[in-house]
Amino acid sequence: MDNAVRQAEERGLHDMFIVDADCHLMEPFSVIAGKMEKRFRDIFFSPTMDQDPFFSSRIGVDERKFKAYDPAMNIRYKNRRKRTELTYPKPQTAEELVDLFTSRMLDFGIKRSIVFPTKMLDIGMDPRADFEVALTNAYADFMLENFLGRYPEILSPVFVPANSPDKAAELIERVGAEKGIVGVMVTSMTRALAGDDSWDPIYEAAEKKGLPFCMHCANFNSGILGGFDSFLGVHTLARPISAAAQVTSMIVSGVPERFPRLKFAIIEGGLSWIPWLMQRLDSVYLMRREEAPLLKKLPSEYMKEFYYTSQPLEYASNEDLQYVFHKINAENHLLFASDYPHWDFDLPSVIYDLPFLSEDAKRKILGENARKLFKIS
Amino acid sequence: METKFQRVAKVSEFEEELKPKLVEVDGTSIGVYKVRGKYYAYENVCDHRGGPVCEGSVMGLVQCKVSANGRRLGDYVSDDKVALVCPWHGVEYDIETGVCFANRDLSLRRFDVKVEGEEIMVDLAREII
Repeated sequence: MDNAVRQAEERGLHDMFIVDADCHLMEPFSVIAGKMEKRFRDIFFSPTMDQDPFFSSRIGVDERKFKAYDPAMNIRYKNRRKRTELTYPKPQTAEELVDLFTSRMLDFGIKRSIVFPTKMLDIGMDPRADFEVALTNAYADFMLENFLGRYPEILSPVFVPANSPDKAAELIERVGAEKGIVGVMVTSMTRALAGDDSWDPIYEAAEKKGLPFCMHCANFNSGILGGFDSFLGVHTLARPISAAAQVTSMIVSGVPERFPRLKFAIIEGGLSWIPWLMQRLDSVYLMRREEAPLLKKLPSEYMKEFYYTSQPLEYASNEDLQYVFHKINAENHLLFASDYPHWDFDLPSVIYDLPFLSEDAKRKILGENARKLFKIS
Repeated sequence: METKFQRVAKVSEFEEELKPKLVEVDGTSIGVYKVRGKYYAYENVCDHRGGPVCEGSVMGLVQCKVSANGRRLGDYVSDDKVALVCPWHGVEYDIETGVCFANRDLSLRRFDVKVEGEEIMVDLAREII
């Protein structure tokens, strides 16, 4: 990663407070499973236990197509690429993760890393609700025992079982005040939509603890996206589409009005879908206002109060990016994210090098907005 | 224009084609390649996100066979086109032009190369557009 280190040095990034609002670890399930009841531990006891215990997420999916979707499994993809240091890592030990986030990320100029899991992002569609509850609780304990509160560089939202909102609220109550916990997190692939009343306990608990509500986008390959036989097609659409559905649900049902002190962050959906949804929601709202009776302003105005992470920053002309940044109030509501170590990661230079941003805007997007949102000291 | 060729490698180091040599010239990291008997030199910076492109794979371009009606039939490695693939995001450049296969707005900084006897020389002042 010499080029990444050089980028940081050339741009003086070490002098800035850079927060990576979305990076990932590969969960050591063998350790996490040890914190769960035997009936749940048995789910992991397969030859691939450290790779993918979430077989249920693939029910009904053509296995041949699934392989084409997943970059880590795609033979062509592996052959094309030669990554020396950067790769989909194997499950990492706690020691390796501490080294990654307290040392190597600092080399890239990143002072704080907000860490998310990887494989667990599929849990929202798992039909075993009790397994989801057990796994999210065990993951929270794993994070607290090994990283959170021990290393100031490592922060994380608490990943809650969205399909069991009361249990999610209990988990927020249990660990929400712990040092290093900076938010509440669900994924964009859940069985109920985020505007459903059943989710109120999650929002109430997050608001009570003063924690922002973070939705990490997830891939899906069902419904109309099940017709793709390429990762390109699925990855282009799945995250922004699922994010758009969840944001629409939250706004139409008035979640921001019902929980006025709660802040919202949409993670890893990219940015280009946001102006599209703003324009479309506002247009339909004009004609069917009575279906969203709690709203006191245009849907786009609520969306402008949401926070969004930058990765994957879609490659586009500066003119196009400037338009998107303007529409989402990026200077105050955009959070830099690397998505390290995943295949389409971004470095801080993707923000720092944008010619239309002021120095102040760069500082805010690269770290200060996140510092404020997540109350990072 | 004044030329400033500097020695970077020996011809004997390129008996095996497509095997690159990474060198540093005046503080600039450069990848030198031999393809079909001709030499190329590129700056080791990807035009996409700044990755170390010259540390990536050099291989036949991965193509997909398509049927008469445009259906995908399967992948194969091209005998004709050679790609330099950035290790960061997999962006592919034509090693004989430095131009990206997927988006022709992206290209690598390419420098003039000449061979004098055993010496391969690169001129950083002569960028080939």
